[in-house]
This record gives sequence, C-alpha cells and structure tokens, in this order.
Amino acid sequence: MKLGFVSAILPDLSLQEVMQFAADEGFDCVELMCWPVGKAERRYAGVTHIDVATLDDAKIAEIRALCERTGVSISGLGYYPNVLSPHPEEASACLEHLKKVIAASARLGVGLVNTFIGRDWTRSVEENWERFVQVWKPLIAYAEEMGVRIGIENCPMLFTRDEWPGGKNLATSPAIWRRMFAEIPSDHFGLNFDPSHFVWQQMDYLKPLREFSTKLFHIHAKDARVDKHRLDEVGILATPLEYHVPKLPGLGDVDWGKFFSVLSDVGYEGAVCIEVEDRAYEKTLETRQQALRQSARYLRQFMAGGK
Amino acid sequence: MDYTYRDIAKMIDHSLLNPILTDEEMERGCRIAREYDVASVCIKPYYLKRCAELLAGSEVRPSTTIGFPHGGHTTAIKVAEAKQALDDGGIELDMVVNIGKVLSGDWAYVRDDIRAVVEITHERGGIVKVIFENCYLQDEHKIRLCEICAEVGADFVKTSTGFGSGGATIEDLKLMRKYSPPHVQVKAAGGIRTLDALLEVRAIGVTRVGATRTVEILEECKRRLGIV
Repeated sequence: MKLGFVSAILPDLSLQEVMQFAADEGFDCVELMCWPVGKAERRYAGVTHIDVATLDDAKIAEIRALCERTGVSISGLGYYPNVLSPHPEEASACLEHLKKVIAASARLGVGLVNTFIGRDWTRSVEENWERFVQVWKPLIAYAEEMGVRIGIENCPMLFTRDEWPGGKNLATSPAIWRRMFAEIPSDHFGLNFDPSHFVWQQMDYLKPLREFSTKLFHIHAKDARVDKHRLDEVGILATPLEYHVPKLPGLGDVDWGKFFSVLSDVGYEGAVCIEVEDRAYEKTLETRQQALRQSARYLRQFMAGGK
Repeated sequence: MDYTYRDIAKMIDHSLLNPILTDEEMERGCRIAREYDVASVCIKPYYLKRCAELLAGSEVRPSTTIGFPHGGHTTAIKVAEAKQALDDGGIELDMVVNIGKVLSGDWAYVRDDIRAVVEITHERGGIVKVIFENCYLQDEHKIRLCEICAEVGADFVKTSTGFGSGGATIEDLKLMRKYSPPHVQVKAAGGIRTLDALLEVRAIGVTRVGATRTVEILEECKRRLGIV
C-alpha cells in the first residue's frame, strides 16, 4: 500500500510546494485536487492544484518531471462536484469539467479520477435513478475509452441544512453500490472508500471491503467521532454534523488496526490518502501540515512497505 | 505471429458514438483513425459528413449507425437515415434490429426492416452490419437473426451497440459464426479493449471489431511486431 494525502487541505501551497512537502515528509503519493479555477462552493472544495482546463503538453511534461524529481506519485485526480444537480447549468458545467479531469488523468498517465455520483438532494434514491443511469452510463463509457478508472467516494454529502434531506451523493451504501454496479457493469467503475462516513451512519465499514474488494480503487483515511451525548440530545434524524465530528485518523471511532487488517487480507495494494477535515487542526498552514504529519505517523504502524 | 499490422488495423472500426463526445473530440478521433489506418470510423450520424471530409484520400471508410441504439425506429426512418448517411459519404452502416420485434417473434417485420436498409445501401454501393444487441436476446433469437441476415444479404452480423447492458462474448461470437454462412462476416462490439481480446475473437473467425481504445491496441500491436 502507498501512503498519501488529499491535497485539498493545502490550498495555500502551489503544486510544487505540495509535492515537495509530500517528499520531505516521506509520503508516497498525493491525490491532487482539480476543481475549476474560481471560488469554492463549500469547505474543502474549489482547490486547484492542476488546472485541467489549461493543461497542455508543456505542463504535462512539467508535472511528470515534478513527480520524478520528488519521487512522489499522483494517486488520483480529485474533483467532487454534483453532476446530478437539479440546476441544469450547474450539472452540465460539472459534467464538462469532470470530462476534462478524466482526459487529464489519461494524459498524465494517472489513470484514476475520484469523484461523487451526485444527487438531487430533494428527491429520493428512486427518483434520482433514471437520471443517474442517463448521465453515468456514457460517462463511464467515456472513462473506459480514455483508459481511466472512476473511484466514487461513499460520502453522503449530507452534513448541514444545505444538503437536507437526501445529501448530494447517491453512492452512500452497499445496497446502492450493488445496484449501481449492476446497472453499469464496468471494471472502470469502482469506489474511493472512506470508512469515516460509515461510522456516523452506524454501518459496518469492514464487511464491504470483502464484498467490494475488486471495486476498491482508492482509500481515503479520515476518521469520525460520534458524540453520544449530542446524539442523545438530537437523535439520528438531526443533520449529521449535530452529532458527529470529522477527525484525524486515530482520533475517532474507526478501528484502524482492524481496517488495515481486512484491507490487507483482501489484497488491497493501492493508495491510502489521509483526508484532513478536522477543524481542531485548521487554524494555520502549520497546524494543517502538523495534522498530516500526525496522521501519517499514526497510520504507518499498520502499513508495510512504502517509505 | 500470424498477423501484420495492417491485418489488425483493418479489423478495427474506430467507434466515436458516445453521446457525450464533443465535435472537437470526434475531430481528433477521425485524425487518429486516419493516422493508424484502421478499417473505418463509426461516428454519430450528424458528424458523418465532416468525418468523410477528414478521411478523404485515405483508405479509412466513413461509417455511421442506423436506428441507434435501441432499434425501435420505424423502417421508413431507418431507410431515411441510411439515405442521408450514404449522401453524406457513409460507406458502411451499422444498423440496429428492432429488438422488441425480435423478442415478440415477429420475424416477418424484422426481416423487412433489415431488408429495406440492406437494399438501399447495396444499391448505392455500401455495406450493412446488422446489430443484434445480444444482451437482451436468447440464443434462439440470435440464430434466427443470423438466418434472416444471410437471407436478405446483410454483409455483417454484429453483437452489440456498446450501450446495452452487455457487450460481445466469446460464446455469442462462436454461435454467430456457426449460424452464418461464410460470406456473412462477424463483428464484435463492446468490451474489445486490448490486443489480446482482439486476437482472441480473431481466432474464432471474427473479422471486424468496434473499438474505442484503438491507439492502445495498435501501439501494442506495433510493439509486439517490433515496429518502431
């Protein structure tokens, strides 16, 4: 397995600085954020370490040389929009950009794009399904044509009132994944699995690793802590951030020993990227970098190989 | 090695049918097909005319689809599509059968539907590949379709659109080869992404494949043949 981090937490660093930091800290890889240049629509979004809209041959050569020089690889390109947004202009802009990220991933020789399925959060799973098939079938065919695999993160994108009640990503549970992968059977369509999202949904995050072992394209290492005292106050029907807190790996409820134990059993050999979304560590660039250091130190005890 | 670069390249219909491909992407696809000297470019109908311009002077044939991808168009519309495609410079037409009529067992309708497109296309010097969309059919349907295609003079039988729930399988290709007379060729579409997959179907008598990963397949072919 390869240890890396998600570059969204270092928006103030340039691509060169991110890769240099990764090299200095002994990381194997980085998932690089590829949002369109412009204003972020939400926290952790809007970071552009590679601008796919202006990516030309010279820049590709430059990025490849940077990987070569630092010894840090790109685990995947990340762009997490809502291509099923009920607002047609937003949906089509997201789709256009996602296609560019896929093409960029092919041209850079990365071969993986991590993203969300998206969802009209005001409608049920059933009511979203036809549109999911309509949008994603050609999109996966496009990715196949490019030789790029698509890893869907299992984040419900439901944290506050803004995404209530359905959240902005359909791919939240094994039941939905099963249906999703049956609908679009493709070895280029898989998961970017993050155990933290199952913690607050009260779900088993180990069992799916076995059933979906061939679909594990990428792993996000984020933790979450369910605060029982808060849950007892508001109940599971409250908006989720009222009763749980995203944390650094090791500071929440994920049993990382068991997680890596099963992950290695099922033969996972890909990237595990630390995703820092812990507000206790977000005061300055220095504290965010410390968060990555601390998380790496903690996770390395479970990982053979790597640096 | 029992093949040359040309043998493999001339088995490939470079497919540019994905609904989300833009003009720019199709333009680039045509240039790639020309550069690699494949058999044909199978492109979305509206872009066929431009495709024919881009391929002019090469040995790569412009082609498109008829009744794509669900096959449920009326016969008159399929014929009109074929006419326009031939007017626009199309030489090879990949036509989808009326899948619902096949499943209903209305063979007279299915035969007339295919024959109408074959006749107009042959009159104008083109060829027709008949797409079964096997993922929705039973073996008995596929066998009957092979017989009908032979009877009405179709040039190829073809497994899939690439947009159904499944693509070409070895079993289906063997079945289609077995139940088609020698002058009807077999085309595999959907899921042929590597040179090995192409060679595997070639070994059982498939003479054409629909591919989107053309560059990878042919670069691998060059590598194996030691062509720099």
